[in-house]
Amino acid sequence: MMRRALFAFLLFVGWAGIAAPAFAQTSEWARQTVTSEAPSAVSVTVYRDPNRQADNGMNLRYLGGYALITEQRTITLPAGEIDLRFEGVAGGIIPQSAIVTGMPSAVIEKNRDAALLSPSALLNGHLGRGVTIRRTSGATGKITQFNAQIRTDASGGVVIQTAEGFEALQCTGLNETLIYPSIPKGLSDKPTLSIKSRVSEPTRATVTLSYLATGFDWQANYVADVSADGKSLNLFSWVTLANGDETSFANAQTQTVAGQPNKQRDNIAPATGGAIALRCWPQATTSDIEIRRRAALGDLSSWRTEDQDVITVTAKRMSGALMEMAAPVSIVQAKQEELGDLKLYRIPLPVTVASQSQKQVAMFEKTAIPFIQIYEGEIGASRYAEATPFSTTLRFQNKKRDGLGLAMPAGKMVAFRNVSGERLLLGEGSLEDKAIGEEVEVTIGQSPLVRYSLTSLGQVETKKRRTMDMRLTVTNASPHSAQVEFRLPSGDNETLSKPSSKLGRKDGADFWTVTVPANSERILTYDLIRRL
Amino acid sequence: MRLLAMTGLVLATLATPAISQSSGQGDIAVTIYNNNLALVQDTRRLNIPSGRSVQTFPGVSGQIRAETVGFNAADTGIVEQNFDYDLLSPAKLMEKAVGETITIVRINPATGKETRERAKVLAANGGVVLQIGSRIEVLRDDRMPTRVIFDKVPSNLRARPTLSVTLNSSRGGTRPAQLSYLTSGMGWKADYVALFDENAGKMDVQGWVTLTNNTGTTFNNAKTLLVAGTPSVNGQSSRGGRNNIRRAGTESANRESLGDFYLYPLAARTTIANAQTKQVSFLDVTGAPAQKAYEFSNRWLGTQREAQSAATVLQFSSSKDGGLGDALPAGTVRVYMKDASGQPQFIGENTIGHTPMGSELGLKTGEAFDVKVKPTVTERRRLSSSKWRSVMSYEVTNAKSTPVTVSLIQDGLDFYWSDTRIVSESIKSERRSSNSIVWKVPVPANGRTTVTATFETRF
Repeated sequence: MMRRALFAFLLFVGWAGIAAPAFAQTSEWARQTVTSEAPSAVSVTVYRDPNRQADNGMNLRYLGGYALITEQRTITLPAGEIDLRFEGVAGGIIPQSAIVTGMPSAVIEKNRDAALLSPSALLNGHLGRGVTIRRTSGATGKITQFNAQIRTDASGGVVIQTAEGFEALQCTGLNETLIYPSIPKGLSDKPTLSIKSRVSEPTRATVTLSYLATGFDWQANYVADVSADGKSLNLFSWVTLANGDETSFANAQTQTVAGQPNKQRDNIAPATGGAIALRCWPQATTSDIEIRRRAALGDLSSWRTEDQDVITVTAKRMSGALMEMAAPVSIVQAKQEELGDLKLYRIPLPVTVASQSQKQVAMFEKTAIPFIQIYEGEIGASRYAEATPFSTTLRFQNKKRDGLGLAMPAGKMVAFRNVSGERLLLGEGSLEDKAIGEEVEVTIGQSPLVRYSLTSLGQVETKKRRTMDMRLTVTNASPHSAQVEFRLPSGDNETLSKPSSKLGRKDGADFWTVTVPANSERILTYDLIRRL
Repeated sequence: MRLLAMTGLVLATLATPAISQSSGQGDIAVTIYNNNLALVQDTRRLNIPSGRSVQTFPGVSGQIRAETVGFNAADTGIVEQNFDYDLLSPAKLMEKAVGETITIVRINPATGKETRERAKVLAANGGVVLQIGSRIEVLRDDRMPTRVIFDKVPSNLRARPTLSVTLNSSRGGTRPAQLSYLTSGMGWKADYVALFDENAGKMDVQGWVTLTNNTGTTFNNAKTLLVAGTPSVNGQSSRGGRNNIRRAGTESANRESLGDFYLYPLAARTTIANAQTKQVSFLDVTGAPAQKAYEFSNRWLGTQREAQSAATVLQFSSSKDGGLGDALPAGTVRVYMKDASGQPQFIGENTIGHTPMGSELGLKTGEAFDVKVKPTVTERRRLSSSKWRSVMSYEVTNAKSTPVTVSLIQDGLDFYWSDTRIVSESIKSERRSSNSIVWKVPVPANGRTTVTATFETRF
């Protein structure tokens, strides 16, 4: 009894001894921490993945774009030196891009702390310090606790020093665990952005925090409905934006930016903290049996491997990932503004940009845009081809007189046509950023009915030149006439001569335009002269 | 007797934490370079006895470069410096216990009864082989819970890499001792926030020093100095990428310098925590002149099937007159512009190198949506075996409601080291170098301008 009391007393003194310096330190750091938990108003501007081509859709599992997030936060600041912590910021925050304005006094420093509270941080923080070991008897359920000192860090197994000597934690087969007296200072639950400032008198302030964050993307989506006569189309367009971050932005002013701002990769210091690597001494026995049995027998070395730091890729649930195909009646349309040399699309109402979801808002709707469907082909003038299908391309002018005449951000286009009352898919293509006045060409597929072949009928070779007698045949098996455009580039030492039809020039190459009537063919012959 | 030993140890284990609670660091001064390198000077008060003694230094950087350690204390000479990185782990402990005697405590899983025995470790290869009295056993071969208690830890096994210095002192007593070393894992760069007002032709720039600490160690209350420069390390100097300096300046900034490097001291002492990114302001300029320009660069004989956007370039100066008025340490410039509602929006970023004061800079912030160039090789003709004629046409379009001027650059005139002659051109070009020319192409609002040029080359 006497002994126990003495022990308890010593224990008490000991604990007090541990606790005291911790208190001393908090008072020494006479800074007050103010936490801003959530923004009162937020604006999200989404930028495209700078490295994604228009013909690649967004990868919802890995969104390569980014967003500028601007938050208003109302805070009550006491006088003195304060640490203002911002919580509820996007997980993909690029901390070095953070801007804080509206503080009553200057921001002394901005910090992003990424030392996280984790099993390994607890252990490392108690290296050389006292902890309690708790063992629970598997037979009787009896709990024994005793004091120990940690002698290793979290990197390669845990050695503890007890009253009896040195032991390795969890190499024994016993149910044992470490109990820590306190949390080492400077650890946070997730990477935290904070600022340090000196406030002269208590203030209620509204500060603006803005930062760039990764894990967003957007694109334009166009839906073209080709009229019955095949001469005009109705164009409906969407702004499709996605948030792959774990943070949702409720009632956010939402914008997207088209164009190509320069953006580099950002080096973000990784968060530290993780599991403890528990490793024991060699544990082979004379009769090694498979892992599962050993676990059943209560050997902990097998489940210990599961205790390692595992990177978990959370499955992302996407809502609205399937695009609504039918062109709806749009009530809300994103409004286009100029932003320097970029185009800004503002969604006029505050919307919720939910975590891990995709959102679509109408961009514009235009009707009766005249277009032509052309069959495009291209091959080197001296090469051969066998019954190769043409690309099917829709061409229209982005001009006001044609019913368009507005900035068209890059994205995909799906084309439909009504055939005897049913809406059928013609094909899908993409366009890059198109300014007002530009010609827009969208290749929506390849035609199995309209094909070309290029053959050589013979060649004559002299010392200086080789002359090839070439024949290009275009066949049209469709019941409509086909407007064909054929580009015939030739090399620096090649010349195309004596074409059977008049050729034009396009993009620095010979160019043949021909209308092939339904169910017929057209032939172009020429001599290709190559200097030797 | 046993109780006494027990309580003594309890006291010992519980008393030590209070001591090791402090990081062991003294007065810290940190000088941080750009290329992931820092010099740490740590002045501690050490009680050095007379004669030979060994001092260990807890709280040094986890990424210390041990060969750079310097130690200095009055009346003291260094016998040797050691950096022990043989780390204590259960496996190491068992390995070093081979030939030694340990205690094993077997616990009966049914009754909880403990059986205590002394055992000699014969080997630790794959499994642990023990000799208990006259028996030879493999540790936990029967999977019974068994505690292994070691009497001691070999002294050279450390919890963390530890620096120790063997000293020879002519007198005993407490005195300040300075420890200095280089460490990797700490570095800094600059981050600039530029708010550009296109109509006024001005921009506001804030510069922030961003320093990162991934050394594994927190430096408490450190006097911090940043050096804008990348000294050679191991004889290797790092050559930076694009620095975007159009014309290097010749002005000296009003800042302290070290050799050719400018120094950026932090105003107050600060704690640089492990895994922390810290930003401190160093530059705040309002209303510096800045303008926007368009540039397009075409490679030799480059033809584009679709018109390509011209680059938007932000031009400004770091000069005292009409500029930012400071030397700019290398980093990232993020450019913002106010949208129609007055809210700043990001319009692009780019990097700058260490930029002397008085330099002219041109940062490409992005590609213009409305200003495009479509270059085409319209003709290539061989005039003779060593004479070629190439006709180029460049269609520059502007969908903006204001006229623009595009700097259209044709590169690659040194193509195959041949001399290139401009036979004719629709507007006058300016030769930038033997390799490139530039046309300043005026394009009307919502209009287009076509530039044509004929080049004569040897190939």
